[in-house]
Amino acid sequence: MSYELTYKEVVKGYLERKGRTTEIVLPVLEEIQEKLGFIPRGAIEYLAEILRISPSVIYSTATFYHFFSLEPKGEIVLRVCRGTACHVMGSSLIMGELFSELGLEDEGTTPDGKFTVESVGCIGCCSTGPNMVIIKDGKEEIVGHLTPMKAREIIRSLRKEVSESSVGVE
Amino acid sequence: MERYTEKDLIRIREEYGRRLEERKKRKIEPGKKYILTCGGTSCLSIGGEKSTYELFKKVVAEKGIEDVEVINVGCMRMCSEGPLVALYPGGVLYTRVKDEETVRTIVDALKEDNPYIDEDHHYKDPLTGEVIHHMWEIPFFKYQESIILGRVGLIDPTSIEEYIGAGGYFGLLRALRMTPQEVIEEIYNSGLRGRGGAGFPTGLKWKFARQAQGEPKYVIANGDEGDPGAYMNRAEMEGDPFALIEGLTIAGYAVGASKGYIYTRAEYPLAAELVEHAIQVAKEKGLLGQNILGTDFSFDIEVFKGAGAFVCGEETALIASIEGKAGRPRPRPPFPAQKGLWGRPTVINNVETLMNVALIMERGAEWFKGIGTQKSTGTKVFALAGSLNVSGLVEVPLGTPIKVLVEDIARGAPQGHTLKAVQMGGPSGGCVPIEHFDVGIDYESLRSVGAIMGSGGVIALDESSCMVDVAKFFIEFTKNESCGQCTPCRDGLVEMYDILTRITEGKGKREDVEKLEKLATVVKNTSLCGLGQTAPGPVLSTLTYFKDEYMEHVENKRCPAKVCLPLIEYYILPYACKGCTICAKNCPVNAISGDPGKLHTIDPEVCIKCGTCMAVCPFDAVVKKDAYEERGELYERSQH
Repeated sequence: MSYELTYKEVVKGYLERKGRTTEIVLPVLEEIQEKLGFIPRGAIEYLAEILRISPSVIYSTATFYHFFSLEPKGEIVLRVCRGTACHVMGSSLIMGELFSELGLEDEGTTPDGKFTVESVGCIGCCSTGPNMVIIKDGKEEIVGHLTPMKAREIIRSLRKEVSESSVGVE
Repeated sequence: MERYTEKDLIRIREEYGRRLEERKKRKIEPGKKYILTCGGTSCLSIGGEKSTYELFKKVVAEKGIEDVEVINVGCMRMCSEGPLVALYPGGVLYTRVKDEETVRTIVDALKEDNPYIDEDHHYKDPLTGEVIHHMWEIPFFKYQESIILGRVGLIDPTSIEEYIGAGGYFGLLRALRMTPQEVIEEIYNSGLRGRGGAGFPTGLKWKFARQAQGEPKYVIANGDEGDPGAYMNRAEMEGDPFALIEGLTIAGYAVGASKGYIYTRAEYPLAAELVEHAIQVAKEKGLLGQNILGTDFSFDIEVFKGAGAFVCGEETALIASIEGKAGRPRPRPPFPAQKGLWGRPTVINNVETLMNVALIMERGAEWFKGIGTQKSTGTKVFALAGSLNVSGLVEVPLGTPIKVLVEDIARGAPQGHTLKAVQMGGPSGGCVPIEHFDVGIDYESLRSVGAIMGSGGVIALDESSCMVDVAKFFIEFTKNESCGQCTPCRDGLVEMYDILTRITEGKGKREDVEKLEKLATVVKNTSLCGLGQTAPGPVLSTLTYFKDEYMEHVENKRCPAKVCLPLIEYYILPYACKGCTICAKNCPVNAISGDPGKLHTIDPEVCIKCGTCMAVCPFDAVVKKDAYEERGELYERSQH
């Protein structure tokens, strides 16, 4: 499968550049996460085999950092900034709005695999909060000055886009 | 490949220095014009699909105007008024330049040598109403002292020539002529202290690593700026990446390291890109790599991206992270200066500290000591945000009173709001109430009022912020970011969070507040690393200054700021409602009922308290009510 090809290539690329050192673990996982949208189990085992260490060590690293996900994420990822400035300007209301609009109980992916809602520490656009990062088709867009109503409108228009684009696939 | 020598540096400094001097002129002059567009993440996020830089490039080319150079620079600081554009000579600042139309207006104005446009796109002082065109007359800039940010927002971060023109690499040149011991001495004498928050003397740290046994040695720039509400390091890396590289190279020389790392966050893609570019250019020019500037000193730098873990800002966790492990701190001693990366002596300095190093080596320790206070020398960059009229990045000499930041620079809270505190130092810091606003910002003074310098996040809080909620917010953050290794931090913070949740839900008891205070002290005193030791700060400082707010929640089941959702209800004032139906139409859960033209009511069972009705009501008829404001009471008030 192409997944396997991708992560093997990533690992090999770093091996050539840096040699057999655990220093490549984070950069490798980051690149796999970026390319595939998640880290497949096979990638963890493969990397462990190459570096001759236990898969549990890699697993421990992969599950420690927020940036990595062992499950595929939704087509559209919504990352709500939970920095201090965004918080006092009402980011929890934005989060609540996303949950109620998408029928989620907590951070995670919708059952149809279209949307993932998560929080991010701080994206450093504190003057324009509350902020949210929309990740779609590998592109990141930051939307600021959110209100629950604006957030709802964004979801509704995104949902339209997603359902239109997937008509052909189904 | 052209490798720079000392002669080249002097030549470039003269040539580009002249250009920069021209660019900095305060008087509007005919002739060549420079348009500087802000390329900081914040301004980019407010703009449209095309960045202001691209728009200007396009419009200037279309109109075939010569003698206008468009340069994309780093953060121009006044983030709340962005996207920002500056015109030099003259330093005319344009604000909110979002669309092509505005860009065209500005470009047309250039031609007529009367560069001012409509007042919506210039700074208008929120206190006096005065429109101020020139940057240096705007209070936000006037009260700042920009040594670190002096180049950020003025030079092209991708041009090494402009950096050299602004004095760059003369610090390294001077350092290489001295012995490493002399460089350490110079930094020690400057009084420079770590800008990551703890304030440890940089020269001392270097000395320990220099003396430590073990080869090779490493130097690391800590740009893992995880504090929510802080983005100084990002702006510094995006706006002046060569200064960071120069500073780290000097550190490498002083300590005896041949390899350096710049550790940054995955959330800062632009910063990583610009730093990587700068490393590449510096290598090509012989300012990095083998035999730097023709000397025996060789040094290499690599960018390492973190993967979203706040605790990795702690130096031993950061090291574990580079080694490919989960970012769990380990007990110190041994300090990284003795046993760091791969067990070798390692110096870890904050990004801003290293940028100061480059300047100190260029201009001398005596110059640096002339800025700030006796014990806290130099300046500090702060990220100002929250309830303020103007916000963004500011740089002031250490010792500057909080008042100057909040009132003179940021122009106070927006109309109708009253400030009650500033939160400084993020999750490790504390809240400083308004009665202490005359405290000078330096390491010792802040500690005396229960806050810390921290990395530099300053969030202004007004009456609409609940201090219990703010404390809960930080504990939620640190609880989630705890690495889980030591018990006080892992379990203590969860317990503190549970207590705070009970209080904000109106289920807290008097004993809970006492227990919270006790627990906070235990976590502070017994945690393994800085994360746990400082995490109770926000709770302890709000308990010191805002205990009354805690007691209101506990005793009267009331949130005075009306923030804690379980303690409030949305309610439509019968006398004010005109039955326009707007609220009902916009309610996402159909909790509002009522016939057109008649009073509408909210079903509290269905309402999710999102506040949309309050935001859309044209008659201000929707209010938040708490335990004190029974419906009858509100109604009665309306009759008078």
